[in-house]
Amino acid sequence: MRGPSNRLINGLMIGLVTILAACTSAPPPFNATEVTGVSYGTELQIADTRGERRSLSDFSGKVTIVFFGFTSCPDVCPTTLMRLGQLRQKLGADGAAVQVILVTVDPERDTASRLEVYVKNFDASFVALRPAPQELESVVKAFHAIAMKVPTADGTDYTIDHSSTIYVYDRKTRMRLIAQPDMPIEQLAADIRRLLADS
Amino acid sequence: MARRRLSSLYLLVSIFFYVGLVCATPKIAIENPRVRATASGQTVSGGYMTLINDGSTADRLVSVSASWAGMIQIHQSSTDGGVMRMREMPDGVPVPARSRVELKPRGMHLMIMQLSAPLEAGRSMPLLLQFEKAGTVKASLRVEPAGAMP
Repeated sequence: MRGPSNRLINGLMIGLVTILAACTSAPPPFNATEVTGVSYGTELQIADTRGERRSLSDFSGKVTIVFFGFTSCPDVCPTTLMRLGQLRQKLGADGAAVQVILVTVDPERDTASRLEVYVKNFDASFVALRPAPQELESVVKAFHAIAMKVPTADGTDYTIDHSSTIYVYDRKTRMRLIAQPDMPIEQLAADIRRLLADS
Repeated sequence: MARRRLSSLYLLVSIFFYVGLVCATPKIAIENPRVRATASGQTVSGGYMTLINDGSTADRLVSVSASWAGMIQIHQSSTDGGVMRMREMPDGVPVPARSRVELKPRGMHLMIMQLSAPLEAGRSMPLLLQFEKAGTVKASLRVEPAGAMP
């Protein structure tokens, strides 16, 4: 008496739970921090190395990666650029749909020509943007980032403390992810493949 | 006879003295010294290496110089709370007895400034490292392509 009906109810329950789980299950989280819908870094209007003002919509259709740096940064900035170059290679054919943009936080020393040669040294597809010195503060603020000149100990030179965040936009130029530059390339590549596939 | 014995004793003592002195002076070896190639117009680059102290005495890298760079400082990079910082290490790099100390990307590195010419990949650049105890140690930095710096 007990056996068959209990078994039927159990079976139905398991089925129901499975269906509910399928309906409510969210996609697995990204490896980077998802920030879809944030109010910062939603647009930029900065001159490129040819003096043309570029906005995010110019890169629509691609997954765009924006980060801040400068050419007199001997260690972390070039390491990040090198890793983003490796990321594009790792993505194989998909790499062509990834646009890396370096925004200089040192427009006084980083002339357009210097920036152009610098980024192309890492990857021919990289783009460098150069805010005018008086624009820099508002650009940095619009990304909730920081850039602060710090004199070297002997006072003859300066370095710049700046945000290390990598901002990742989907094909519709919506900011989707932020990451730190030491994130394993494989993890970032997996996230970017998802962005390339779903938008 | 006695005088000859005395002088050979003197010789022996001085040999021991010098051998002792040589052994006590830390010997520093430099492994994998390298620098990132620069593009034209760029006047700063980063240098890396491993400092190896096989001796029983602690030492310290105090300064670095090269004829092809106006200034070389020892720096430490850090990223705290999403902000990249770089600071000079005014006291240099301690190299404890029997240790390996790595200068590597995103850590301690040589900040090589005022380059007289761009650093071309494939070249070797001579460098002088000044240690507190080991004195001057020569090294030759291998110039690595910017896109493939290990």
